[in-house]
Amino acid sequence: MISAGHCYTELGNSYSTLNSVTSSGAWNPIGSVVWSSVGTSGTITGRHGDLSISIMSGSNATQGYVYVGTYDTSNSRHVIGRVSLPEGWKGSNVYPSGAGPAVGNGTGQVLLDWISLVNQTVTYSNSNQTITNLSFGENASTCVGSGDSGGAVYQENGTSDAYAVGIISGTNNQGGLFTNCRNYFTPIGYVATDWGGSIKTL
Amino acid sequence: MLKRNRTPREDKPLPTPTVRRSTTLVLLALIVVVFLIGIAVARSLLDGEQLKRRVTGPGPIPGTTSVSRITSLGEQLGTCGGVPEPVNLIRLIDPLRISSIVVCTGLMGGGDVQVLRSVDTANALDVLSAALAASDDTSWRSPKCQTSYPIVGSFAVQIEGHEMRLAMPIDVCGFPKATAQTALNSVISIAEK
Repeated sequence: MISAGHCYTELGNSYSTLNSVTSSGAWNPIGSVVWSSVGTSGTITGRHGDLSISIMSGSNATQGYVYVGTYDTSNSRHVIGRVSLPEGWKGSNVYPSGAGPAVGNGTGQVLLDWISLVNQTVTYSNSNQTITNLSFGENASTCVGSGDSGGAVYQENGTSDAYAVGIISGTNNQGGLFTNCRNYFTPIGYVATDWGGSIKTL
Repeated sequence: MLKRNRTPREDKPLPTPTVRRSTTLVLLALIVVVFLIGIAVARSLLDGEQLKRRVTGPGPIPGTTSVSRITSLGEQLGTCGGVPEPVNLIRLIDPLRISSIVVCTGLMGGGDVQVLRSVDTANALDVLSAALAASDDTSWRSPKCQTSYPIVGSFAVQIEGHEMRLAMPIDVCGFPKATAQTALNSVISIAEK
């Protein structure tokens, strides 16, 4: 399973166990982190973006679909492949699959109607980690939120399928009267170039 | 032919160059101040209010205040040390003397452990108190933030005979400040020994 690398490294510590968190806050181990593109200070030299790879354990195998819609959705789309969105792309069918925090209402998905920049470097205010090779997906007013990191960015295809686009990393927390909300994600293609493998499809 | 009754130029004293320059500088300064205030107001309206804590009232003892939870951070979840999960949290304004702490790691698969103040633990508790009393970070610029959801281990402290569930000081992204998290981790490591 692919997630964000910064979720794996925090305050100089790295965590090898992947946990699910229930609505009451209880943690349950579901796998192990085996690779990350992010270290304490940011993207590791020779790697790209904000990515981690986990091997799921027991009955927690991943499925080739992505949840779509609100934070508590049960709707999903089949993943049929991956796509690279170039700088300047505009459209109305690309979304980060927002889940949100373990407790309380989450973000839900946010329309990214413009890929304004690609291959960008961002230094995050909260961790001072410098992440490379990020793409910027814009929305006029809405940002991805806490708990969305590691989620999928996908492009709709028809009524029931989706292409994998990237992995959510962060946001500039703007959006409103004068500025867009700029959402940062790692293009999914860097998983293949850095680590290998292929997208699981149905 | 009408004759215009003009006031001789000499009767109307002109401001000296020094006065005119001062007036211009004052006007420029005023424009800059108004511009900066406008930017500040606009940013306060635009930037993520969810990243900030709101003071909800006084705390139970001097040196404390009651504050709201923020959406970007999971803290003080569940009952801990016999204190139920509160709607609002207590924020230390001053570093107060913690006489004991219960760290509740049950949600993460551990147990609840109490650390009493002693010669061996006093320093770690004082460091934690000072770290928790640090002010929240603010920024004039919109911060670039990771969108992870940090979950702080639940804990309850006893200060001046009061059981409290304390809030963490937060950085510009609404995440727990590293100094406070590190100080709490130190106390947790003592508790786990």
